[in-house]
Amino acid sequence: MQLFSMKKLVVSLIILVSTNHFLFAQEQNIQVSGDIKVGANIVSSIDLITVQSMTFGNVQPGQQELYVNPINSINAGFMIATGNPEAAFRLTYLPEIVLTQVDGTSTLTFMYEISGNSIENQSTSELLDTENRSIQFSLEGRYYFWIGGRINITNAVPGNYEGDFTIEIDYI
Amino acid sequence: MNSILIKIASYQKSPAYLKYSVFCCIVFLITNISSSTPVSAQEIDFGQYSSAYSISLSEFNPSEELEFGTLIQNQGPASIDLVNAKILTLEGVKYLDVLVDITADNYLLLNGDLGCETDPSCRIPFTLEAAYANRGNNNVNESVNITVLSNVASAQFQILQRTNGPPGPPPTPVYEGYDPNIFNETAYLYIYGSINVGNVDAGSYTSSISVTINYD
Repeated sequence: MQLFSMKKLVVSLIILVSTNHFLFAQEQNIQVSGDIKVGANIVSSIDLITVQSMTFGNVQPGQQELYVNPINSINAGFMIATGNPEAAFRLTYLPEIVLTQVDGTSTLTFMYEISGNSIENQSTSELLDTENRSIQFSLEGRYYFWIGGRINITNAVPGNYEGDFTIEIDYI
Repeated sequence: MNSILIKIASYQKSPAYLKYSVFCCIVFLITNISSSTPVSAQEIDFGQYSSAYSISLSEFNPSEELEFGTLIQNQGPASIDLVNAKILTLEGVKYLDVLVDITADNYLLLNGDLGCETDPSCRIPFTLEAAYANRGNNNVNESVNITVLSNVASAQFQILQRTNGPPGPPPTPVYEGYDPNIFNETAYLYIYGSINVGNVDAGSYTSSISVTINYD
């Protein structure tokens, strides 16, 4: 009788041990996973260097208009922009500015013209209009600008005049 | 071991009963040593007893990664805020809790080059931010911020938040023919953050964020 009871107890204990391990195996929870990519594109900062300022030279008697052709005039201003090679950028500028007499109060209105080229060659540069034009840096990360324009001096007061010219360049 | 020896001494008059007692003790000790599951009577975990529960994780806006766009050298801080976060949808049984772990790399690396992890000229530090919304709506105004430590965000929440009031009755466990998917609801994860662009080389910088979801 005692042996029969012991056998039942042993069987019970074996079942208890086995069942405990089976439940432990079932404890694995459902899991899902995923990856998200993070990115940023870093470009070189844009620099604009003024190599030469624009000049008109001396005004001749009876001359009514001064004009500096940015494509072929030696008096044209010359600027170099540097940035990320082959990156596209946008050029913005005001085409009309007011020049102020240095020793006086007279003013003159100046209409700008800008030409640009990806190589340092003024004669093959092309006129750039005032719309936010998309241009591209060269392989070396450069772009060249020549600054010209025209001014009406019909009623101008004699003297020296000056003004600031601003170009904005932004990566696109 | 000492307790077993004592028992042997006290039952010397009945060898059969002695063998029975010793065997029971040994089996009991083996059972306790092999059992690694602590006894807990305070929580009923229905998820442990069902393989029918499912959970899915997907992108709400698959075509959009966490992209900071084009930035300039030495620009400084740049951030993606909650409104523009990367959104993940988490679909599961609405009355179950999920454990969410979000781990982000500490740096974006130039071209993903692991060699840049120790090079300040080609790595950009990244700070992770995360939140979740579990009211059934993709609404950042209903989101709950997740605490982030060392670019690891962890949270536990119910797929569908209970409304005000005492907890309802326990959920119905799985039985034959029962489909827990009919009780599915969707929660939302929002992943965003910020970087700081210093004097680093120009180029494409990347890193990754891993998201792991478990039922509690």
